Amino acid sequence: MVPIVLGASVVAFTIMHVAPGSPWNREGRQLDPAVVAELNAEFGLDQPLPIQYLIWLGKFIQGDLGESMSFGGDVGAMIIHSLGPTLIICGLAFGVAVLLGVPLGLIAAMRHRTVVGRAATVLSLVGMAAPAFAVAAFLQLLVPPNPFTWCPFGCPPTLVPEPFSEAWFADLAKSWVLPVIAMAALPLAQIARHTKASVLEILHSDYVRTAHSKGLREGRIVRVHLMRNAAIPILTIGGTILALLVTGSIVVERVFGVGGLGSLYYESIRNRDYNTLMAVTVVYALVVAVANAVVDITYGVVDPRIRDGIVTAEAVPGG
Amino acid sequence: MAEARVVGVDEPLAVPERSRGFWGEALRRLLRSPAGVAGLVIVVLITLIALIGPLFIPWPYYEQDLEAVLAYGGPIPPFVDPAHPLGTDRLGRDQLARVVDGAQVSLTVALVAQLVVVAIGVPVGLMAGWRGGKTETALMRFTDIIGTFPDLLFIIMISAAVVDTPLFRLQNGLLTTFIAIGLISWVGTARLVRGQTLSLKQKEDIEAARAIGVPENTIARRHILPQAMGPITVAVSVGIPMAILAESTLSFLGLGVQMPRASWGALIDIGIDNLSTAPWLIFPPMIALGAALIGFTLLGDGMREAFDPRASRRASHRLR
Repeated sequence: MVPIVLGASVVAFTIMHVAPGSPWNREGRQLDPAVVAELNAEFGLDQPLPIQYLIWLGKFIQGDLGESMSFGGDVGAMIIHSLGPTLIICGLAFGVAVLLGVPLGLIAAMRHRTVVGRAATVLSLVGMAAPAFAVAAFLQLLVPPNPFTWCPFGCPPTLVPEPFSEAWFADLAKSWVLPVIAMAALPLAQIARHTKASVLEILHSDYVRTAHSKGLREGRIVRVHLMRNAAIPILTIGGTILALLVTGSIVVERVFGVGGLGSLYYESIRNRDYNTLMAVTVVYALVVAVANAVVDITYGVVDPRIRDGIVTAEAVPGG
Repeated sequence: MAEARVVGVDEPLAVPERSRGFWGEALRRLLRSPAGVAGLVIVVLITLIALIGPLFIPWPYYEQDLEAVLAYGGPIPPFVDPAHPLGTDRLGRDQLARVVDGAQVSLTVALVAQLVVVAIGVPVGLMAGWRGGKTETALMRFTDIIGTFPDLLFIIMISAAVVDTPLFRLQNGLLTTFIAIGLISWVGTARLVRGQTLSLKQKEDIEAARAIGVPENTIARRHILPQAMGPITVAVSVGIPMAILAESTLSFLGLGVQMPRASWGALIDIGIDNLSTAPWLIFPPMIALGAALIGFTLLGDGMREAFDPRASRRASHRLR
C-alpha cells in the first residue's frame, strides 16, 4: 500500500511540476511578478523540487493536505466533501456491473449454442461499444433539462423536490440512476465477456463432466463446481474494472454536473492546483491499494489453494 | 500393412505438404474464427472509409457551408440537404466529413500509440527478462509504479499538463495524445515480454546458442524476440481498442485532438452541447466509435485464438 501511494504521488508530482504553467498564470492571465514571488514563497514553490516534495510528504504524514491554490480553503475538507458522491456512484455502478455481468456471462457460456446464449454474447459485445461518456451523452437525450441538484448529504429545504413529484423523479434519475447506468455499461460487458470465457474453459473440464455423470443437479454444478473455479479468472480483471470506474467517474461527473472526486481531479490538473491534485492522487492510489488487497483476500476465500500458498492466482487453470 | 519407411541419417525428414509458416498458420486460424473474421471485416471497412472516404465527400472536415446553414436557418438535420447527407453542425461543417475525419484521427492515434508502446515496452521487457539481476529489479519496480495506477489517470494528467503548449498545437493535439497514451500503456507489454523472455530463456535452442558462443545481445535479438512475436502481436491488437477509448475520452474532455480536426470523442462533446437544438449530431460519432470498439475487440479475440494454441484447442473442444 505504501509503495503504491508513494509511487503515484512521485509520478504525479513530477508530471505536474515539469509541465509548463503554474497555479498563478492560467488562461493567459498575467500577475505582477512581485505578487507571484510572494505567492510562491507562501506556498513554498520557491524551493527546489525535491525539497518541495519532501515538505509535502512531511505535511501529508501529519495529515495536513495543505491549502488549495485555486479554490481556496483546506484541501482535506474538499476531498471529504467530494468523496461521498463519487464513492456512491462508483459503488453502485460496480454492484450493477457484477450483479448483471456475471449472470450474463454465465448464460452466454452455459447456453452458448442456443438463441438465448447468443443473445447474451451479443449483448455483452454491444456493451464493449459503450464507454461511459458516450452512454452519458446518450442518456442526456432522455432526460428533460431541469435545474439539477446534487446533495448526497441533504439538500437545503428549498432545493428538495416534493417526493414522487415529476421534479423528484427527474432529480433522482439525473443524480443517481443515469450516472450509474453510464458508468456500469462498459465494466458490465467486460465482466460478462470474462465470465463467459472462463466458464467455457471449465465447462469442458473432467470434474464438471464427472459431476454431470453423477447426476448432480445443474444448479449445484454451477454453484459448487463452475462458479467457484471460474471466480479466480474473473477476479483477475478487478484492476481493469476499477480503472474503468475511476476514469468513468471523471467524465460522468462532468456530464451530469456531479461535484465529486473526478471533477476535482480534472479541475485541479487544469488549474495546476498542486496541493489538490496531490491529495486526489493519493486518494485514488489508496483506493487502488485497498481494492488490490480486497482482491487478494478474495482469492484466498474462493480458493484455499491460494490461501495456503500452494499455487498463485496466475497459475490457476484458466487464469 | 503399410510399408515401413526407413529414414536415412542425412535424408531430410518428410516436410508437411504445405508449410505455411508461423504467420501463415496464425492467419489461417484467424480466418477460421468467426469473431476474428467479423472483426477483420469491420476494421477493414473503417480503415477504407478513413482512407478513401474523404475523396468522395465534397466538403473538407473543416469547411463551413455557412450559406446552406443560413438558408436553412440553423444546423441542417440529416437527409434534408443531399449535399450534407448526415447534416451539419451549427457552423455548417458537414457531419459526415467530420465523422470520417474522426476515423482517421482514431486510427492514427491508436496505431501510433501502439508503435510507441512496442518501442518502449518490448526493449524494457526484453532487457529485464534477459539480463535479470539489478536491471530487472529496477525496470520492473518502475513498471509496477506506473502499472498499479489506472492508466487513464496518468494519461489525462500528461495531456492536461501539455495542453496549450506549442508542442501540443503542432499537430492539433494528435502528437501529444499518442505520446501520452504510449508513454503510459507500454507497461503491460513490458510485463508480457519479460514473462515470455523468462520462459524462453530456459529452452534448449537458447541454451545451444549460448553454448556455441553467440553474443548475448544477438541471442536476445535473433532468437528470443522472434519467438515472442505472437504474444506481442496479440497484445498490440488488444491494446488498439484501449487506445481508441483513451483517445476519445481525452478528446471528449477537451484534452485530446483539437479543432479543426474532428475526433469522435470531441464530436460527442459537441453533440451534448447542442442536444436541445441539434440532437441528431450525437448519433454518427457514437455509432462510429461503437463500431470501431466492437471491431477491434473482436479482432483482438480472433488474434488471441489465432496465436494461442491453448485457445484454439479450446475452440475445437467447443466444436465437439
